[in-house]
Amino acid sequence: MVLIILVALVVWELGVYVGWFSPLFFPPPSVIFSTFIKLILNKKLGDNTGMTLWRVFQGLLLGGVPGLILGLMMGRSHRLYRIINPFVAASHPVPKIAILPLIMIIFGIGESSKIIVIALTAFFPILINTALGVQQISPIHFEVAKNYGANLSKTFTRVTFPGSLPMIIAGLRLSLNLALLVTIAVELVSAQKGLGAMIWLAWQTLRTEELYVSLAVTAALGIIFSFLLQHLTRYFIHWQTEQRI
Amino acid sequence: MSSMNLTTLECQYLYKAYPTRNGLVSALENVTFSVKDQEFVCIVGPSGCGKTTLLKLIAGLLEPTSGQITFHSGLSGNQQRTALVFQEHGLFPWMTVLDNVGFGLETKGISRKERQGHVLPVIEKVGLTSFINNYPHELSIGMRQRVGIARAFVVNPQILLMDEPFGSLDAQTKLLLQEELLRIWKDYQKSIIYVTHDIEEAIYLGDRLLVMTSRPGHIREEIHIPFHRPRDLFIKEQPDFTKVHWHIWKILEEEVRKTL
Repeated sequence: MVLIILVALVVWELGVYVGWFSPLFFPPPSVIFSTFIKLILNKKLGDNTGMTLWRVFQGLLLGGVPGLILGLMMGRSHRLYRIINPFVAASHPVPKIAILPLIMIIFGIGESSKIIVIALTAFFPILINTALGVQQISPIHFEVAKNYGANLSKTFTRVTFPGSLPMIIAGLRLSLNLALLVTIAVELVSAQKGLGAMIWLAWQTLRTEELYVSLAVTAALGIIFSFLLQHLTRYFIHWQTEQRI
Repeated sequence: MSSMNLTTLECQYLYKAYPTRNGLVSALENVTFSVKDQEFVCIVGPSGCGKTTLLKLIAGLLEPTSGQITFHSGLSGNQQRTALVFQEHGLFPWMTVLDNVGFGLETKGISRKERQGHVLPVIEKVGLTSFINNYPHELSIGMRQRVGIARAFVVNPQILLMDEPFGSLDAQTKLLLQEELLRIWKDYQKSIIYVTHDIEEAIYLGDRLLVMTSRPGHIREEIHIPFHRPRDLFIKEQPDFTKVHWHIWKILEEEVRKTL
């Protein structure tokens, strides 16, 4: 796979020099790379990437923690699930980026509106997957816990939480992906700093090479997140291989 | 005075019904029997006759619609009355063998170090000492059942409730584990209620056998098993064994036919 990428890059580089590709729309990889170095050195890349990551983190925390708690409760209580589920089903499909203007009317055009939208995006996958994760725990596990004397908190820490962890992590994965996506989108639309803002600004000033660098870094973040979560999954869920008997 | 004559558990006129779309459905009706101290009681019956429901009632996981469940002795310390052993999914897949077996003690606030002292000897009795840090998915079904049994004995309950624990095993492993169960039981001398639909198993293991009818289940017959202990698998070849087996089968056959 690495070979294919290298070949593609070489073709691209040469293509610009012989005039196949316009250097305005497709700056050669060598230029992109030198821009990349330049942006690292003048701290622009580091600052903006940091800003994006910080927003993702805040949104994930603000949306993920309530999602986790509510999901665990909904998973355990059928009554609660039936009450809350219709609201979830109604609000979950609404693209959260689309309600950014509404949020900005209520919360102003500052940082909080952005974080709220990111949090709303991160909330749903974690909520839904956590609830499902709890529901798929075999009732026998709960019967054993009760029979052997587990109280509410013991049942939670030793049965409910570890039993639903695979699904929780699946939800976290989705939330992380979506949170990054929505962060970039929000920054594109209304931010001064961040990778999304960099992308928009590069486009506005026709500095295409900066545009490519921002896109590449965004993609790299996505890959890194995916990689990290895969490791997390394997570490926590090694016992799941044969649970389905 | 032998403690063998003391009654540990008494069930009287147990009735359990569930509301369904078609009205009230009785699972158990008029179930009356008792279990003595250190007695191994087997319950056989057709599928769906309410055997599992009966165990859950005794374990306190379900409430009887009417009727009484009485335990005749007090509990010492944080001893639990009953300990269940299930056929499948009894173990927690995310815990090691050591943690699974020690779970009943963990819930009672016993420290990890103290737990080890109780848990390791029992794990050794079931022959799984080299597997204490393994997870259930790394064990065979037979080994998993041994862990479940160890967990039940570790908490020193008044009665062990076993719901077809060897039902998922192949015939050979089943025989070996039956022998092993009797061996462990002899060391701990607990009352056991053992539910199965395998008549041969019930006769081999039990002091007394209760035959349940099809739904709504009640006790149709009580049979005292005359064989002395210790029993090895060879008694299954004795003519007396076959006679008892046939007798019980004839009763059970009628009940099973009703469910077909």
